[in-house]
Amino acid sequence: MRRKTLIAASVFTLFAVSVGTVMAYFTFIKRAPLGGFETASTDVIVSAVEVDGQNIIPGGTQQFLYTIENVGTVPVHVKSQLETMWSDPLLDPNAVSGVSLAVDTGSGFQTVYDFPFALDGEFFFSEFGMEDALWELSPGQSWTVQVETMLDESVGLEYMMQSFDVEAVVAVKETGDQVPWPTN
Amino acid sequence: MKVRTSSRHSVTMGVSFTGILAFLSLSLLVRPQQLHSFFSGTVQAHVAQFTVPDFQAPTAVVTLTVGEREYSLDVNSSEDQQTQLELTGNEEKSIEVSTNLPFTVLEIMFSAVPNRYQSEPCLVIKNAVNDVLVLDCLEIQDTSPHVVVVPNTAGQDTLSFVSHLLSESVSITVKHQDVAVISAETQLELAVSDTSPVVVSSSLGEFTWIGGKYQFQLSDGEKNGEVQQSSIVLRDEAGNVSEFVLAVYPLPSPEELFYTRYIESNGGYHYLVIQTNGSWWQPLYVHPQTGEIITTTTGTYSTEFPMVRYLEPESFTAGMRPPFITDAIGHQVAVLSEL
Repeated sequence: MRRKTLIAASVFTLFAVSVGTVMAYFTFIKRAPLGGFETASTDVIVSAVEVDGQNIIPGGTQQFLYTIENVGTVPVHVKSQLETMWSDPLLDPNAVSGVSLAVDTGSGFQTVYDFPFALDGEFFFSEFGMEDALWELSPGQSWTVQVETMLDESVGLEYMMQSFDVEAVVAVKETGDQVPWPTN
Repeated sequence: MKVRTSSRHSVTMGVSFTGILAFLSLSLLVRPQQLHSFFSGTVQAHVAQFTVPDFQAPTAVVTLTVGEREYSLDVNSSEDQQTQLELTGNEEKSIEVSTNLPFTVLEIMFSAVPNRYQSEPCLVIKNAVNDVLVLDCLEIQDTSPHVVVVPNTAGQDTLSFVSHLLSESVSITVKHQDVAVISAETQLELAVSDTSPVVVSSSLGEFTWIGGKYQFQLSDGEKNGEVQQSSIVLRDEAGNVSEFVLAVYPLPSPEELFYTRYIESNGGYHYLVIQTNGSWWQPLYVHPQTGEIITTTTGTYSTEFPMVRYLEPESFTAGMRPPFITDAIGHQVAVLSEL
């Protein structure tokens, strides 16, 4: 009886192993690139053409230039604002005002303002600096902004030996009338 | 049973409509954000820096002390002090004058030659004390500008002009109130103020006798007179310059002044004749060494320019033909008829 049991177990084991081998399947997963999608971007680079300190005297004018390059993937509308800071914060930022503003969009400088304006005012890149008929800055394209400033001729001696820094704040958005400007 | 079912049904319908409305409302509210995201952004960059240099020229006050009398002159305010007025017909006008210095230099020009008899004199200039210039129209020969030198009197604050003209007018320009006359006893002190060290250079010590250029031939030809014009130049580290032109004349005592000569800073010159007790004096050189002083501290700096007599005074008598005489280059120059 014991032998019978042992033989039966061996036959069953042999059968199980034989059948398992026969039932094995070959499967795999194949991956192949079919193309990709990237989200659009509206990135720009703002660069000073020259940041070396220039002297400006009361009643005198000085120019500075900066560029805005669209390094994004879609055309954008652009507006800009200038933030000004005296080395002495007690001095009047409005002592320096804008005299003229022109933009080179690739075909020479085009005047936006040719009258005195506040530097910290917002201006749009369009024919008259207004928010209509905005110019499009295409990907890869670069604009050069030329600003002429003047130091009020009546400033006192407290302005002597002080420095005046200008930062450009450039806001961009996708083209389209319904597209809102960034809020910060 | 029916009633209950109906009641339940109506309640169920009510909930469904409310839910639909709420869903639609929420959909409308969130729709712009959910349907479209816009790309935008802001970039900031430092684009310019300006520096305001030292734009203030050094200021200086020159003080001339003659005995107990002291004249002071603000170098920087001595520019652009010209005042102009015009008189027509019978008119009187006044200007404020400074008695800080002994003279007011005027330029007088008639619009037309009033060479016919009118109410004479046609122009009287008077200070607080008396008439200092009386012009007869019959003596007026031209419509060129003429320089007259009017003495300032202590305590005087105005100079008055009274015209008696018909159709003519006369324009009067205050050219200078900053002409000083110094004597051998005059001490010159310079107080300089600036935010950086100042180089003070003066032609006072470098003056050479120019000879013909400043040789004057009085119209009567009796004697040459010589006048010296000097300048003090103040230059700060930033290159701002103040220049003070000083006409130097010798005069033992300002109170004895009768006539003096005056040179325009642009190189033109007019007579400003000095006569003291009948003696005419040669110019005086001041500070025989090269006068360059560097202030080493900011603020006020004072120094003194010693004075050295250059030539002995020569005496002679000059005859005047008031109200105008002719100088060496043909200008007619008015002189004071009475002081």
